[in-house]
Amino acid sequence: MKASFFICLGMIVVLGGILRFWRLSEYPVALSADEVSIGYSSFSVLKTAHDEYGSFLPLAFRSAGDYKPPVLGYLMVPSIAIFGLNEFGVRFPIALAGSVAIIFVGLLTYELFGNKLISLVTTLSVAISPWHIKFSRGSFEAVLASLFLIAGVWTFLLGLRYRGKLFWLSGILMALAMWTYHAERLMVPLFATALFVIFHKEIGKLKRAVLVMAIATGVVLAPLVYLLTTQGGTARFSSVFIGRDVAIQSELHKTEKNQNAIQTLLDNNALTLFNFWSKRYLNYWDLGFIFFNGMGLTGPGEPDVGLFHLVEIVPFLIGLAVLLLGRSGLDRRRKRLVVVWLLLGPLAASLANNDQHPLRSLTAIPAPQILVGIGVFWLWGWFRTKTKLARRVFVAVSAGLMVSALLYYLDLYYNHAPIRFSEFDGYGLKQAAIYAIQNHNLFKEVVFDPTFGTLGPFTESLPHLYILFYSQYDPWRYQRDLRRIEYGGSSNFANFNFRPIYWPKDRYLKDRLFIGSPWSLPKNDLLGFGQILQTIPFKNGASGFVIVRTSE
Amino acid sequence: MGLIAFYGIMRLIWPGDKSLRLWAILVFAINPWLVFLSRTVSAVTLQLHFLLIVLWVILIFYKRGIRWLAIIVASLMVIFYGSVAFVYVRAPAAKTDFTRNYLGFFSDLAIQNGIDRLRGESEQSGDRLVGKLFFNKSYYMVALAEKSLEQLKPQLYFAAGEGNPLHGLSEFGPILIVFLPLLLIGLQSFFGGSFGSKRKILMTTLFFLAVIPSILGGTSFNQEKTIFVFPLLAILLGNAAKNLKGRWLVVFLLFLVFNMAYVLYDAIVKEPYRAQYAWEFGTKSLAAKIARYKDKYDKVFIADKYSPDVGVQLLFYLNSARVYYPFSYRPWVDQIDNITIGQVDRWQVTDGEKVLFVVTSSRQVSVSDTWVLDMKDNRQKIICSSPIEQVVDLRNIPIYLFFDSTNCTREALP
Repeated sequence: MKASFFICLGMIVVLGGILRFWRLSEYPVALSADEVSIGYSSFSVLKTAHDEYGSFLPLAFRSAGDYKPPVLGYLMVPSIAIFGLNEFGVRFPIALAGSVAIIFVGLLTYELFGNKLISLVTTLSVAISPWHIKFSRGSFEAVLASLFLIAGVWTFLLGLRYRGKLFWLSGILMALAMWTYHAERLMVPLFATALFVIFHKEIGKLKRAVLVMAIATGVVLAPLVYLLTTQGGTARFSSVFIGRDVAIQSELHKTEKNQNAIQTLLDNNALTLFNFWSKRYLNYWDLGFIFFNGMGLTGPGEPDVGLFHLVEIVPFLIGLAVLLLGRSGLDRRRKRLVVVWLLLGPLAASLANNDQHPLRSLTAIPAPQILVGIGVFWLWGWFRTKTKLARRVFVAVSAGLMVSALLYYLDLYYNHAPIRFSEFDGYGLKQAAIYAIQNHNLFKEVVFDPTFGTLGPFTESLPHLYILFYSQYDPWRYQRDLRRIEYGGSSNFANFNFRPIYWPKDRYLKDRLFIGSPWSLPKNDLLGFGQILQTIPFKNGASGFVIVRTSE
Repeated sequence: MGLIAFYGIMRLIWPGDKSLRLWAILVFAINPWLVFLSRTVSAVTLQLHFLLIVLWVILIFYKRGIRWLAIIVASLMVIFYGSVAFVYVRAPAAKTDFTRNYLGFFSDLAIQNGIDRLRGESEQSGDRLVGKLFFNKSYYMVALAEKSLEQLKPQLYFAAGEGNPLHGLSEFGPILIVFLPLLLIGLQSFFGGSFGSKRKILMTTLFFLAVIPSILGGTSFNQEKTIFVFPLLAILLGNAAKNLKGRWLVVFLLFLVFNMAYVLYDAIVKEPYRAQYAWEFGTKSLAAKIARYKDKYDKVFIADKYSPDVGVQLLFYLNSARVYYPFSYRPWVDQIDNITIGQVDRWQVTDGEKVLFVVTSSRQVSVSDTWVLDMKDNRQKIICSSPIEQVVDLRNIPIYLFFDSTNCTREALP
């Protein structure tokens, strides 16, 4: 590889890094409940080696009604130790993983095709990808798992070149991917099998390296296999499996007993689920989702952005045609690897209970971006037969379109999405939590209503986590707090009480600090009973939270 | 007839490829898309069959060297379509109908609202220039591209369809999913060169022409309006299927039979339950019962919350009994002889009149043995002892309830 390749790769990585780190603490405009949950768990592990539930170095981090894979939680420990328990400290590991992934995409695609143009364009496509940027700026394990998978495939291909020397590392990286995110637990075994089938000739000659790889992978995976037999390992699967989707419930039989032979054959739950799944899976092959509206940064039917920038559609489709028609001069087996990656990418997401889920389908990266790379490579080959001026025009137009597409995306991300979705990001909970932390000693009790929203109290969060997070509440104290009461996903502790406010009754409670939405603390109903201390608006200007005190 | 014409066209265009013709006709014959629409009164589907027949006739004359006859048939078709178009534009509200149903995209308020909303947000965030640059009328081009590309979504053709029980099976795509792998193979051989370049250009052009009504129609995907794509897809799939040999052929046929059986079972046994309200099941029974009762009462009042235009359906069934009832139409059929449909605010019952109330279940509330007809529009509450008759759906849930006014008392609402 020439130095020019690395210089270009470096520039792309820097660009990708800037897009992932610029104003990371401020955008997204608030930490989500998942972020504060995993952040406080890591803080707790840092201080006490136990999570907030008192589990010693857990294999799965317990969260509200769920268990989170452990890798991100442990990676967050050094980050929080260095940067503190704040937005940057929580988001840093994933933003870093997202930036590092760009490097591995470059290395992987070069190893795959040995073509600098394909590699650099694919890398650029990932670096500026609305899909990858958005999730790299939040604490989403999927980005980290994707990095492990990409690095694992790269080391596997390197292993093929160097007689299996890096197979063990590939196995460990892929196993780590499985440890990191649920979708990879399905994706990786299938993809690894496909790799073995595609490259069976080379692998057949490297039996010893494969054995070492199997042992290394087995050692890393053994605890995970054990975990998958416990509640911490199965909770997520059972809660998000496609069969739990409300859209299919009316079609499923409660019991399949007493059916005749024809019904057993043609009207069974397995077939119904397969039929439903096929709709979900094929819906990931929707160009509207991929290029026009997949990111959901605006409301339905409004100008939006897809997983890719719209300008990438031409090379994407050309790349797809080239990949399927086999006129690229690229190695057939390596193309098969890309096809398999494309097909398996949305599989895990399609088996879960939401349609067109961009986060869960991150497993596909970088396969679709490789199509863009191949498409540009093909286009460039075509322009090479044209005049120098035509080539320059092509480059200038492409660059201009790319810059404008990026500006469009950044405008949506930094200007529009916060206005539209600040309440769904949990905006306002931080300000409310800080007020409560600073003043809770002045009151007998602080009552925090977890429901809020512009159009009605339809959004529910976990405010106790925000109190713990922003007060950096002593984990030892929290783990041993005798007043702590767990219910549902919430937890009461100290003099904090997290429950719905019912003002007609609650207004008679003396010496209380109430934090809730205007839906539970209506302004016209406060007179004589409560005094508004502070109002916290959402980014769209609507009243988000009202802080009210009752008289002593 | 459309099937025969399609086979005839294939025979003339691909004279040496019998297996392609047979596979294509099989695809054409068994898929839910055309099977369903051919069993309904679909003007678009009729047009497809008509075009296929005319095209076949033209091709026969053309291939046999009788070009003047081919030209005459083609001219007749142009005259026919011209006449239809002329009659259509002369019809009242033709322009409104055309712009709403065929050019709905350009009057889609959601697009303009989306642009305005984002411009407003740009003002709010202080980036007016960016808002002006990105959110303007040019977005219509983006929206048009989006709608166009949506027509290529495999999910719509092979798994989900439009989901409208009036245009197809609500749980299945218009083409059996077992054909999906064949589409990929078919596309590969289509772009890979097994079709001549002229055929390729012709088929690609026809495809885009065929999806235009669905794109410009306003709705995202219209399974009925897209039916013209189907012959092209049948050719693509047939071209892929003809290369199946040996065990692959056996496996494919087994899957095909199973897929057909699965869809057929669902269509016959389960779909009627799902789609009964969209199909307005029960209206025939309603008409039969009203025909039986109408002459026994001075007035029949139907409070309709079930069918969008029950009057037309009643006319169809009542008049089919060779009795012509006078009716009024403003702006829908609201009066047939002594039957008043809708217009609850105009229900007047004078003392001594015998009236039959026919109400949908959403209009009544059962309180032990009495039934309260909620007539808020008429500022009155009618309390009846029990229905004398009812029309039920397939699950035996009442759709229409018949009440005799002699069993009812009226109370004025404040």
